[in-house]
Amino acid sequence: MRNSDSRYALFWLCLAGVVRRGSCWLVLLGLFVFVWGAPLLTPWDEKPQILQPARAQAAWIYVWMVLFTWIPFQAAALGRRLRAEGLLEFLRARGEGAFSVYLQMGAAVAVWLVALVLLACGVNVMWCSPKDPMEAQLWLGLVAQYGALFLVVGIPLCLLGVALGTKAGEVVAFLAPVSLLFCGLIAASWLVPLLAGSDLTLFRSAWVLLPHYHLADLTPRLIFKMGPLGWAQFRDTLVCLTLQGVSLTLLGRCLLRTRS
Amino acid sequence: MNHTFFKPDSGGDTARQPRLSISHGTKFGHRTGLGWNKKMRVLVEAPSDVQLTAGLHLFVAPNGSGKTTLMRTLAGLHPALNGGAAVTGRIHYVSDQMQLDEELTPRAIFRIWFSGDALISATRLAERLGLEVGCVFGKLSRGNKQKVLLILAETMAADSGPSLLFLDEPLAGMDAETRAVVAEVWASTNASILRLVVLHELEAVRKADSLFTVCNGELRHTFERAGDSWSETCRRLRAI
Repeated sequence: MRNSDSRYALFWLCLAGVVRRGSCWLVLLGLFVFVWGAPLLTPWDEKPQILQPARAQAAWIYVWMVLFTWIPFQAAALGRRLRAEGLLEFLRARGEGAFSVYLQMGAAVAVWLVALVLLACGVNVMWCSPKDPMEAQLWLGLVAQYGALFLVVGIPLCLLGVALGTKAGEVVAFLAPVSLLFCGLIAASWLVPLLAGSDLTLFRSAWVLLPHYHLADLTPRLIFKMGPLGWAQFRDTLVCLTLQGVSLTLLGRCLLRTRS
Repeated sequence: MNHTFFKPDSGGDTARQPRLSISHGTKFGHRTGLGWNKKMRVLVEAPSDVQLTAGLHLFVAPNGSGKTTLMRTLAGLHPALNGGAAVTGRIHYVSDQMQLDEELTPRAIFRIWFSGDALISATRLAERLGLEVGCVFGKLSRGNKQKVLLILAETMAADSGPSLLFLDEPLAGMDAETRAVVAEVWASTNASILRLVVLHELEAVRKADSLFTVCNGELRHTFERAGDSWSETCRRLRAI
């Protein structure tokens, strides 16, 4: 049996390249170091019960930090490298679909995001879960919701970074998803009074168009053990973030450049 | 104006032969300038129809004469300025600038791309060409990098049914012994592969099916070998 058409060969090539460079293992290991070390910087010895929620908080802060730094850097570098190497036009000449190429490249970076989220969820459930079975069940639901919302935010940003890497330089490809994430996660809370409460249609439209990544940040609910979002609220949030993610993914597809 | 059109084959129909047709008047080149003032910069024009089937077809022309532009156009990566070309079969285009991940070894690259018999034949070809498959791509010499790309393209083409293999200066950086081995490989396996190979030195290639050259922007082509070698054929073709 001859078989040269290895399924998802580009994905495996990209993944092997990331693994070979080794920084991915440091990023994964860093989660445990951060979760263990960061809460010790708080005055936990005065109130030892804050240590567990602090660990849960540290895990998610770390995952957000990686989404601000390592992930967009890897995505931008991968996109630029593959285009510069000429592998993308080799695949294009072979008749590989551009969307398949785009998804395979993005998946090679997104898989590390998924791994980090699984580890963060694991840390939350294994080491930070409340002892009371009822509370533990609510905690588990909240952690699952957090993981799902985070991935809906993170994966499209990975794809956008990869696509921009093929189109523009590494700096632009890194800064664009990071800026979007900053606007949607941090700046959104500053802009609420200015945009959402404004009488001007332009400002209100700007608020609607702004990425609403702050909706995916459930850290306060973890810290204060508020339990999972209600089903309707979770569904609406998931739909909103998914639609934004699909828009970003399609934008990335339009920006993808396969010719060297 | 007709545009280049392509009929890429999915690779399942092995009975079909790979074909390449360039119709007369087809112009290869670039469009320069802004939208309202775009001008055509024609590098190569085909004065007559060209029909190719499986075999080894050499392409020898001076630097800057438009070889790469023509190859990229045939590979579907660049639009033709005028006319059209029809392609039947799966295209494998290896540019002279192509690279692979410099942190991966050829062994890892082959294992990712191939399995089963294809992996065995890629490994055999690597042994035949004297390629060190355990060294990372970034640390290989120019000639060895070319070997990796050549093995990749040859194995894919051999496994994809009717295939068109466009190789842009694949022998660059290779030693004379390796060039001779590559020429042997090309001579021995051409049943379902149409190879269009850009070369600057023809000494290594004894057996080929046709030769292209570009002279004063005109694409010239012959199936007949004149004189003792394809080098001599090229000289005569250019002197017409």
